[in-house]
Amino acid sequence: MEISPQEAARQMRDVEHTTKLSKRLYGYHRTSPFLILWGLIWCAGYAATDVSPAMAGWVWLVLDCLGIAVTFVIARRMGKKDTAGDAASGRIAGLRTAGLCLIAVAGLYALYAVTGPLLGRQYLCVPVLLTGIIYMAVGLWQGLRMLLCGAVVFAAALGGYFYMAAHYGLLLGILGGGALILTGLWMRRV
Amino acid sequence: MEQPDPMIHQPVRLKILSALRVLPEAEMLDFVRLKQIVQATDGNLGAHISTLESAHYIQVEKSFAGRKPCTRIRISAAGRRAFEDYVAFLKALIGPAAA
Repeated sequence: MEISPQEAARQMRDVEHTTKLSKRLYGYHRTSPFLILWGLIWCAGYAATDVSPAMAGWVWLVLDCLGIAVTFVIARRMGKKDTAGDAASGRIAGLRTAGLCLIAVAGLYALYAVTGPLLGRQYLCVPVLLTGIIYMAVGLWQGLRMLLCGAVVFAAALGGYFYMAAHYGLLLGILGGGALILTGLWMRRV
Repeated sequence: MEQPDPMIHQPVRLKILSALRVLPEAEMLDFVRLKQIVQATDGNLGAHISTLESAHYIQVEKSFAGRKPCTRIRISAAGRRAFEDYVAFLKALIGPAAA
């Protein structure tokens, strides 16, 4: 069986295209449960903030702890599956991913401490704005779905801040949290 | 490799192995997702999966999700090696032509 260099080049293009697509979809599939989880956290947290601003601090503390714990469980399960049931690898994957969330939350509180007292809306806006920016940046490499999610979240944060001050928390919960959940579901589809 | 591996040479089988080899070693891809990635029909994909399985290039697991049959596929170590050899063969062919 002979293959010409042109046929070989065509086959390599097929290999590269399929490899890239498979990698992107696998990345989406892995990211999906985390987006859905944190989308639900945002929906609950921002809605509660709108209903009872005085309790917002405690609500977010509980929800963040819950989110980090569930993130650990999901990542551990994925890590264990990747290594055909190796529990230690699963634990490491879980700790790393949960650690990332912890760093993000700690970073946010440090930012608030450094900037000094903010308006209520600013406290709500900053995490969503930062998430939108990071997701858009990651989306440049990971793919369009992440990029679009980041754009929607960013637009909701900024647009709502300037044009929908009343019930801003509720808007962030519905649009921001909703965008994360819908993107997570979209990422489960090919 | 002086001759291309006929098992991998076929376009759909080449795409199947290309899609599977980016996954971690123990990770499996289900039939429906693989079908959409390689853009094949059910029958076509099923036939090529059987061929690759008979060559021990992939491993296939069949189970049920409730009442729904579920087929999951993963590339084997032999399949990974064969695929890499095939890609090296293609690159060697292209190399002199590119120059």
